[in-house]
Amino acid sequence: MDISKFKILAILFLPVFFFNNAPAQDFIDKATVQGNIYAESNYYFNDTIIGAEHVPEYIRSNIYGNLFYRYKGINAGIRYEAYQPPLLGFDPKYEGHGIAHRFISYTDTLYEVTIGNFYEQYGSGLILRAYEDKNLGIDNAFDGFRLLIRPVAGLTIKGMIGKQRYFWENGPGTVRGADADWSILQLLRPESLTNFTIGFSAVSRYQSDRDPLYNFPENVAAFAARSSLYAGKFFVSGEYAWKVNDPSATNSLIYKNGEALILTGSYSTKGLGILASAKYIDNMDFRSSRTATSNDLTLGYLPATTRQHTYSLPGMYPYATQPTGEAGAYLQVNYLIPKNTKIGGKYGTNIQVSGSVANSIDNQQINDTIPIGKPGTLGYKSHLGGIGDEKYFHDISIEINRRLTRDLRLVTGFVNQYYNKAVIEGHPGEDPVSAWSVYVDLNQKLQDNRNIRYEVQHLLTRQDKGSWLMMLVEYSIAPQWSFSITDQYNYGNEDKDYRTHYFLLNASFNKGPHRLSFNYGKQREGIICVGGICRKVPAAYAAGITFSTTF
Amino acid sequence: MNQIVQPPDTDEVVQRVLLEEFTGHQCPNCPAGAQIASQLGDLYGKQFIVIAYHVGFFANTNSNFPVNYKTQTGEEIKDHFGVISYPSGLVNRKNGEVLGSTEWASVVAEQASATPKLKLKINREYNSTSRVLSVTANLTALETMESVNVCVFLTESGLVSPQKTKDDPDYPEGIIPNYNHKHVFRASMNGTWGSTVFADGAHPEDTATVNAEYTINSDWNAENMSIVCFAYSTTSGEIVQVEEVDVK
Repeated sequence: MDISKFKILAILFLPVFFFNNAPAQDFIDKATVQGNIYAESNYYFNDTIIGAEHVPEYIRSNIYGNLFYRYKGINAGIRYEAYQPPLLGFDPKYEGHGIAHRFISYTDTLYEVTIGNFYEQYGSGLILRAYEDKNLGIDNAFDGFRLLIRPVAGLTIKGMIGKQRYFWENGPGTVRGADADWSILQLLRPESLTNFTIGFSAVSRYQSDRDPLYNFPENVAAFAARSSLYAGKFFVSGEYAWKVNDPSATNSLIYKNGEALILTGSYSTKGLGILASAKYIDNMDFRSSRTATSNDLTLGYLPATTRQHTYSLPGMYPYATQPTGEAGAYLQVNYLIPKNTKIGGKYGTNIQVSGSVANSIDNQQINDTIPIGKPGTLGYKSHLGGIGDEKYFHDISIEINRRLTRDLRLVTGFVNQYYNKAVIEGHPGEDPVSAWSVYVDLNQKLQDNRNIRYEVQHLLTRQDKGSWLMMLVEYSIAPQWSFSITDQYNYGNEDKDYRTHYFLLNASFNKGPHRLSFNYGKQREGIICVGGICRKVPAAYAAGITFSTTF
Repeated sequence: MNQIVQPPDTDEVVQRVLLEEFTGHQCPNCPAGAQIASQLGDLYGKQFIVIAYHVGFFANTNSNFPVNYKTQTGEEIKDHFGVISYPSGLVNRKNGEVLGSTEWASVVAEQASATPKLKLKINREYNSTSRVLSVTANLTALETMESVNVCVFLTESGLVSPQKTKDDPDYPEGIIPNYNHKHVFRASMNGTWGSTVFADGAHPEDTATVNAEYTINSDWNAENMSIVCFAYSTTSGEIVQVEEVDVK
């Protein structure tokens, strides 16, 4: 290691010397340093037909790089981020650059302690989940102190205090949390293949109140209890959460307590998998600031119980979890028709059938004079498990994945969706969308590590922007080169002037951990969702370059 | 809720607070924001002043929302402060921070309790025949202060036209057909960013004057119009004083 590297590491990780009595040189020679870098820049053109408006800054970039240091139980890391300014669709408040994340932690068999920035999740995340998702523009990491203790086998106790990241600052609320997770059989019968766990968590947020119109609770607490059982082919789990009244920007300032229940069960055996889940959410938008909106400063994570489609057109109308109130259910069955059978063919055939639905919850007026959701009141009456009449979403899907020959694989599917745009996108008065989608994906291996893939997708609807047709051809030369051309055609738009093509060209080059890609074309306005958390993506006409690497 | 207390209305120089609200008739959450602004108006009386800029795609017109309230000045202010969510607003342009409607009240309370640095008095003359409005803003520094820009804006209330709404049991279709739009920004009498005074700074008792003249559009009802004059620091961008008077 040369002198300059030594200096950099010494400056960055000087504090770790205080944690350990090892010789100083060991911190350099025996340490592991890893990292990654990602940079994406787009040059934007305006296109009034697709709604890609003129932007003052033609070139926009999202850039970040992580550097991690590990030595024995010591971990440290920093992340540099630069948004110059952020790509369209990301919050302009990200504009800027600097060290956005830094931490030091120490781990041994008994405990783990972290100072600085950290991510955390209690149970399924109903009352606490701090995470990062660059695609969604979410980073609600804590800046503070975290302690984890494993006093006996199977028991993990966690505690933390901190503030959440709010772009380049921290949010106003201070969050305190504790969680206990006990895998009971691991202690009592360590040889058992059955696993039974219980867990409890509590989270409290403090935010001062200087509002002259309302008396806001400065301390808002939330509690959750959970249990799961894994026994052979079966897995069942459930979590219930309850939150103190928390009038906020997202619940119309009502003083109602919140609650949520999530139940999940699965069965899996050779060739068959079944997954079922149900959830009930009532006024459970929990954030570290009562004034936060959008995806800002979220504390609780309310997972989606709908299918996340990978193909573009079936994914055009994704469901976003409604934290103020929602009742939903999901069922998915995967079945492998055995190979060398009449139906399964020579290589077997995978079939996946799924169905999901989300409705409003059953809520009633508190009395005859107070309308539902009136600010400054209890809002409404409801009961756990009560399902309302208004449908928010449904998705019925079937997908068949079959290898036709040694070199040819077919994936095809059919999707029917109902999308209550008024509720999901918050645009009252908008008509709900009923859509039928079908897609065919044909992947053929060629000689010399070459591969060609064709996609044809069609979405049929009379609402919103009407029907779409999409075609894609992708040619790759493994492991380095990949080229694709895509066209989405909004042929069903009621307005003939908007029946336009959204073509997109892409080329990428991979070598080892490095990847360089170019793209040029148009992107339709839409919404991308991951796990029920969504980000609106504006229409764009751009040429872009992306580079990523790990080391 | 707290008890609503009307503050005393005196001739003394008080620190007034300006809410610049970003809204649009196709914004379903905006009536709730206007309601908060109205509650703050009830609480602070003449100490609290509102300008409602109808901007962005929520202010676009179509067959259901045919009246165009958008202005070039409003769009420039929206773009300058990076407004992306609605309703939102600036309270005395504090830190240049665009606030959600639930954040307004606490910042208004903080600003309303500040010690005024500047006295601002508006004299106006309106000719009903020619519809020419002449405004003179007289400024008196109350303490040592930096240079300020003075804006003279016009607003109009009582504009009845459709407005989207949300969760309102009286309007299950999500549209209030006869919504009363208040404090709608109409025009600036001296440009988006105003006129600079006290260019070299000011000491206590220093005075300055800003004159502006404007011919009021014949489609606008001068009976319902107000002159909102405010001064903001050329260095911090924050508003140091604001005043409002009726056009007639």
